Amino acid sequence: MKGLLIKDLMLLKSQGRFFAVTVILIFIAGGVFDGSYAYFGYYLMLFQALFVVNTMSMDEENGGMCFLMTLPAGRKAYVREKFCFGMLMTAAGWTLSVLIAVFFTAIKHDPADLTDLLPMAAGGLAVFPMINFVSVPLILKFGQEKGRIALAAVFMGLFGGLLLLLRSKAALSSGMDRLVLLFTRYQTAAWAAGLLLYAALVLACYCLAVRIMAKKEF
Amino acid sequence: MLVQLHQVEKHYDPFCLRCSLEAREGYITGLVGPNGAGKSTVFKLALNLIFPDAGEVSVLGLPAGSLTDAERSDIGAVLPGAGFCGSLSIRDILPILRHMYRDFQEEYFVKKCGEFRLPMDKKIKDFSTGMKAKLKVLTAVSHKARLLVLDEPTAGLDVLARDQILDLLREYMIPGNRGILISSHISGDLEGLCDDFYLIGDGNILLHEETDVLLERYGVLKVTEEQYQALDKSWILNVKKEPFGYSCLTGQRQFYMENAPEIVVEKGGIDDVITIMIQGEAL
Repeated sequence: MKGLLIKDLMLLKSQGRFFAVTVILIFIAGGVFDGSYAYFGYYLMLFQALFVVNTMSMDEENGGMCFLMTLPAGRKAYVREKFCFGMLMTAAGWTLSVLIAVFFTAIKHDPADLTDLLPMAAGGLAVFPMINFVSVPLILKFGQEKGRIALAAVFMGLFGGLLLLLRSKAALSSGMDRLVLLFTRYQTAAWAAGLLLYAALVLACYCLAVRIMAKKEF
Repeated sequence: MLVQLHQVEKHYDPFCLRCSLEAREGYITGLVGPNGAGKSTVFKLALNLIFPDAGEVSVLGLPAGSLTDAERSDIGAVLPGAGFCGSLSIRDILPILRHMYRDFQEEYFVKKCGEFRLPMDKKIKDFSTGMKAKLKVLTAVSHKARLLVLDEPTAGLDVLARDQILDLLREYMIPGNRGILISSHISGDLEGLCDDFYLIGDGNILLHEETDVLLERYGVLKVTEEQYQALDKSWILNVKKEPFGYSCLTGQRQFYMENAPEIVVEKGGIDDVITIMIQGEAL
């Protein structure tokens, strides 16, 4: 797996100029939007997360997947590496975004911004790796183009569902209130349940990707 | 046995591969046949890139699908149009190979890159066809693999580049405990390199023969209609209709040279075998 990870880091290096320009643009956008984390931090993490999808596209270039599968890394290792690389990329994106945010906060001399930053940054750290985890099995199953469409459909479906939930807030208000009450009362248990659910989702994506890869012919 | 396909079947409607073949240690085994005959399917089965619908594929004595990473590092492969991403350079792939193969011979690899004039910092996508082919073969032979699976490693190369690659393969075989399964459209390459070869046509193995036997014993009889009618056909393998009469492939050239001196008997080569076995008819 280490060899595959190095391969992706080398691919990242080969795209270095493009990355540098993007980070500079994001930095400028951060200045334009008054250092607001939501404008540049999330974009940076999304950009980093989608790079994993790009590496899968590069792997497929000129029959590359066929060649990679002849190397002593195996199908399972390929999936494992994409998950690890995804985590590595979003962690790097997150660190960079937080550093930029701290930079703008220091310029504005407003410590309150840092307090606002923390929950937003933590939210990003949970959401953006999930884009990776979901995209790996989808792209392995449907290929690059259809996989991206499927990925967009999954997230649009999620946001659509959320929107519907908010619209029917009145009908659900009692249920939601009860949920909020439960969350406030049993905060530790709620966090643990949330983390468990998150881990279960990651594991499901991983197992699905491994299964798809095991059956895939090149 | 390095590679063994035992009664393997693979269906791609309407094509169907049905074959058994072996590649032994110390042997360079060639797989020849026309386009679409099933050569690449055989290579992909041996590399576990596709799965058989029936039969068994074993590599290095183990089922192809059960090899561990350590066992897979004993295999080097070249597939047409498949390699590292074009955005990488040779300098980029060095650490990848170093971490991928436990016995990667970096010094040898770099030295050979120099000999083959492969630039270390140029992106692979900017390489010529010959440079890409040399890099692929060099990657396959640089980690002390016991088995090389090479599908058309010399495709699209000029004579000099082909010779360099064939020399590299001969050098690779020196330790003696290694083997190669190779295909090529250039029969001259295989005649000078392979110890034995399989002829595949329409998904079936039509012939398996040692190259020395083929070159010594096989021949093509060029006969007119009248000569054909009178011919002793006991040792004729296949016959192809020609404008002048028939071309008959035999595995006993000497027999016809001695017993039918009036007939033109040419030495057989892989090209003749392919042409008459594929386009001709069995008696």
